[in-house]
Amino acid sequence: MTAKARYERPLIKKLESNMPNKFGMRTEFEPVTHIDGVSVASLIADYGSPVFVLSEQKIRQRFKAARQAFETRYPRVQFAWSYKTNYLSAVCNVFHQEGSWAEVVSGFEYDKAIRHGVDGSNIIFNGPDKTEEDLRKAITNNSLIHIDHLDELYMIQEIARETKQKPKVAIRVNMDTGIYPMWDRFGFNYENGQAWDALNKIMFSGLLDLVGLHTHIGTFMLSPNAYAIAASKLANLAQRVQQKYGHEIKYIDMGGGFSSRNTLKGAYLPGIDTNPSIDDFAEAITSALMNSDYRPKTPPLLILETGRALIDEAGYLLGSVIANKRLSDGRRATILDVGVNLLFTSFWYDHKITPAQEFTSYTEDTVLYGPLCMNIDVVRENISLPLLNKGDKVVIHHVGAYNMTQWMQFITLRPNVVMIDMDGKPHLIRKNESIDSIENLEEIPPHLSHFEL
Amino acid sequence: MISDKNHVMFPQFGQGILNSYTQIFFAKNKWMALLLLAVSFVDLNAGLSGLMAVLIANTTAYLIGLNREHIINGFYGFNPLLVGLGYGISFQPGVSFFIILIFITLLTLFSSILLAGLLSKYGLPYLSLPFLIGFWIIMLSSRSINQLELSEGGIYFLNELYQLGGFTLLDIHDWFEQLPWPEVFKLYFRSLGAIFFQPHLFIGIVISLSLLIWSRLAFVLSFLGFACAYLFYMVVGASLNDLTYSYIGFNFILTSIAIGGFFVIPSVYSFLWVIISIPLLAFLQITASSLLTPLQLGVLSLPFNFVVISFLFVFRLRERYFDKPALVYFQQFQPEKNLYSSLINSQRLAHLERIPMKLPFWGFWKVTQAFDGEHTHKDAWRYAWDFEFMDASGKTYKNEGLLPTDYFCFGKPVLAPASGYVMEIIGEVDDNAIGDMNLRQNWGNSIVISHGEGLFSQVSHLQKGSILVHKGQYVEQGTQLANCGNSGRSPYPHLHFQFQTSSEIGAHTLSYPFAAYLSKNDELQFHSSDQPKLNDLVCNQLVDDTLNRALHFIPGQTLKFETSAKELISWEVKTDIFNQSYLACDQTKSKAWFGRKDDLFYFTRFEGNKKSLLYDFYLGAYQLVTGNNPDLTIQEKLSLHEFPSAELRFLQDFVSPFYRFLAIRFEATQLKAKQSIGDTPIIFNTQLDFSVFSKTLSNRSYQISFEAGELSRFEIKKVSQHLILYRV
Repeated sequence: MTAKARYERPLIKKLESNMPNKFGMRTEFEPVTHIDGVSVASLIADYGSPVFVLSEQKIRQRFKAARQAFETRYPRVQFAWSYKTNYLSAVCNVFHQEGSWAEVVSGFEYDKAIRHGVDGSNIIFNGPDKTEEDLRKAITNNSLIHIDHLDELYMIQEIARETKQKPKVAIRVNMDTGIYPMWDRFGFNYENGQAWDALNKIMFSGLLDLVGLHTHIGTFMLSPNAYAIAASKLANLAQRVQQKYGHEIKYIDMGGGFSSRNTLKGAYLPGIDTNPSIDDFAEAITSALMNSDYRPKTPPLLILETGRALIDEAGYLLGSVIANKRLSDGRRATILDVGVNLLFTSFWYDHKITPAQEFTSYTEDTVLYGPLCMNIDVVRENISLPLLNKGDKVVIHHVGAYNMTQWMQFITLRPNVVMIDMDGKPHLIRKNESIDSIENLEEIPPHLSHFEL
Repeated sequence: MISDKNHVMFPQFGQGILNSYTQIFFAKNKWMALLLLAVSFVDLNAGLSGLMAVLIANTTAYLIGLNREHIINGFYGFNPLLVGLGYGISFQPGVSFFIILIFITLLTLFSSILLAGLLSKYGLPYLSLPFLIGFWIIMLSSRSINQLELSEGGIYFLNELYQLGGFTLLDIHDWFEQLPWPEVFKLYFRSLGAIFFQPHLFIGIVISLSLLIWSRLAFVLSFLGFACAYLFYMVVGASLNDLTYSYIGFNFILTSIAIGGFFVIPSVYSFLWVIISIPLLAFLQITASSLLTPLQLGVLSLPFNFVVISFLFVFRLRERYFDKPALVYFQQFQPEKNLYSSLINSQRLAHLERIPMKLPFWGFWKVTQAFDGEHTHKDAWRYAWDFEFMDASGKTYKNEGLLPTDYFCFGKPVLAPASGYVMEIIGEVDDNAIGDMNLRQNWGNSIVISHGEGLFSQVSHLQKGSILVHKGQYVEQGTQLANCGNSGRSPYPHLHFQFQTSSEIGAHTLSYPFAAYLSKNDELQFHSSDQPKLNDLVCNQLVDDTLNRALHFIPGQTLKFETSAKELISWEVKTDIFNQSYLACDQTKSKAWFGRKDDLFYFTRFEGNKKSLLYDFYLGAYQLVTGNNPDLTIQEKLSLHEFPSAELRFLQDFVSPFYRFLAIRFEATQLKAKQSIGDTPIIFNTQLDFSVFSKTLSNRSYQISFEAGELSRFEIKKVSQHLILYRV
């Protein structure tokens, strides 16, 4: 008895006889049937569809490569895991095991880092919103507070004066690095002298221990040179502090924003070919620091808070086809059980999506929609995919960053998150939500508890 | 003010006198000095005249303003002492006797100074040459001085003994004389006595006992030298008369101590040289006596002086680097001490004469070809290293490794190993495709830096167009020179590094160590003054700011502690005239000398009270790496004269050059410290293990904490004592 041949629907395609482009006729439909040796089908069978899958192996590989890129170019390097990128406890702990500190931007993230067992002195507290309570906690724990604005500076000084503690602080500096948009809403500006002014205020007060300088010039940066400019501007500030106060800045925090291998919407070429590698960023930053005139006895620690570039590629979102339909203009549309509720980053990227089973070489342009009953729920506006049937599985790539923190509980619930360990064994690291997880938080006033229809 | 000065001066003056007695045997030892002083007074006149000579010499030296350290060490006193002893034995006391003593002492002192001036520039000692000059002068001139009468002392020795101690002493003397000992022993003791002009068995025994108290090796050597001489005289059939009549055998004894153990580190080789010296001494002795007898002068210590000075001069002239036997550079006035410290320090302090070199890159790189490598490090170019960067999985490249840029080391900074001037640059050789080699310009892009006379370093196969320095530029250690590349004879990117003796690119290589680095093969290891081996994964040791500041003791600084027993301790940092720094504890009169280089803090020696807390600190902080390297363990050995059991040490001393059954091991482990900005303490657990035949006899444990740039806490965990010192 022979296996039943797979049904593939008929397809009529316009014959294009113009100049063949150099990328050939095929696009991204090579099937990805396994992740770290675990079959997509079994993952969906065990954990349902959709499901987020993270590869511990990939995370560690990427981290080691990044560390290597910096450590071979600069003597003192420290990474701090950017919690907002992905603060699932298992993920954070992989980074902490690799030696990363924690970089948090809210009281909630701060508490999460403490709960993970990160020592207060290894937490960098960024962000514009730090409550007085948060700051008191961070000061007591000896955390590194990166001051965002003068009001925060004054509040820290007041706490320091009152509690007789000497908080360890850095200021966040924003600057023109030749890129657009300029992120001048965070921190103090370099060019107009705000940053220098803040540094003077800190040094003159004598209440705070100025340990570092911080910048974060943007997100998904495609120009390493911008980092070189930023690094030399920070080094310049450090040198001026040393010159004026004889005070050595202990670290320079270059933030993050390194691009991953995703393709930005509107990009002509795939990101995997065009985006700078972590080595390019490392080269730009370290050469700028070394070429600067800031030469203390021990070189300042270089802190990096890159998140996306370390985890994006380690994350996969597995989903299934709900239906196929044809739109009014004749375009094919495919509806997946994965939508923008889970894939927030589909607003920014043309995610690479591959089927999880073998196909013939025929492809069709299609629109990929999510399952939400909302017009905005579009995963890819146009993608060339093999001919998918209902129930077929797809793998969405490079989803490790931001999706597991920016996902929405909108219309439907959030699914399981699985991590495949170094030995290829899957572990559930976040259980899917149930109606209880939503309703348990709700309270119904007595007069609304009953109704009759 | 005068009383203040007296307080310091008199003890030192006393030391100067005592040391003058022991300096005859090169020693500095209080008990030995007292014995020798007593022995010298067996002949009252001689004893008195000897002591007076020392007093006169040392006082004159002090008043003239000569080096006080030398006076205290007895360097100016021992020759006048010998002259005084000989003079006192030979002549009757009287007014003119003492007047002449004063001036003959001055003459001897001046000869000492003159000879010191002549010989010290060759690094040679003047030994007892001044004594020879002084004594011969007085012997020759006395014939024209009528007031000096020859003493009958020494001739009627029994009479003197009787006067000194009656029949009891005579009986003792007789009993000794009639002991049925082999002649060689009797002669040996008599020869020892002859050094003090009293060739008597009893006196010889006391002197040899005093030698034993000072140094077991000196005792062994003294007898060995003499026994060999005895044997030699027997074998060649020379006249034993020389040995028996004038007891001139002490020349063999002194030479044996000097060559076998005092000026030379005791070893099989030094013992061999002692044996070689015997016939030479014998010839000299026979010749000198036939030359000097017509003048009615004794040969005295002439052969000893000639042989020792000429041997030392020969040893110093050695050009080929062969240090067997090794000369003593830092004299500790005891052969065992010299030996034990040399065993430890020849390795441990080897860096002192080196320019500190660092690895020319950041991070851990792998040695893919080392000395006498299988590919190109051969013949004149055998002392070279190839380094490549390797990731955690052991790969040196990503992707397929088909492009130079796939290799992790390609384009990575190459640093100056030490400060110096850029001498040569080649920068325009193309980088090869993978697998290809440019055999015509085989060094590829290279830079040579001059670090000093005859010491150059070369980095090769650099990336084209990456060179950041220019010819003649002065670069600091750690300055980026260029990037690692793939030019020249380089099939795939790697960094070639070598030390060489001249500035041309590709000059002959030189075997030279790196000052300090870490290796991570199975476990993290620290290397001081060492050379990476094939397949080692190596990285520069980074100096930690806190440790760097805490272990930088500034002269004048005082370290104050409060112990857990509420006692206040303070140690002051001082420096001595040899530019050596030490911690001094005034309460216990103890000193611990230390050294510091970038990557290491270490103690070198201790003097004073071994029950003091400073001694514990000396042991506990014997050697510390100044970097923050959690889990790093270093091991070191201590000089055996620190061994706590005096009895075992006494036994060990006898065989020390050949076999050592005692050992002191030091181990320091850095605890896993948190990495953070600022104030996290760095903690070391250190332990000393004292063992006999590799079995632990006892041990001591310590814990040292550093915080905020200071040594904050020192914990002593001994069986008898658990004490914590807190910095105040």
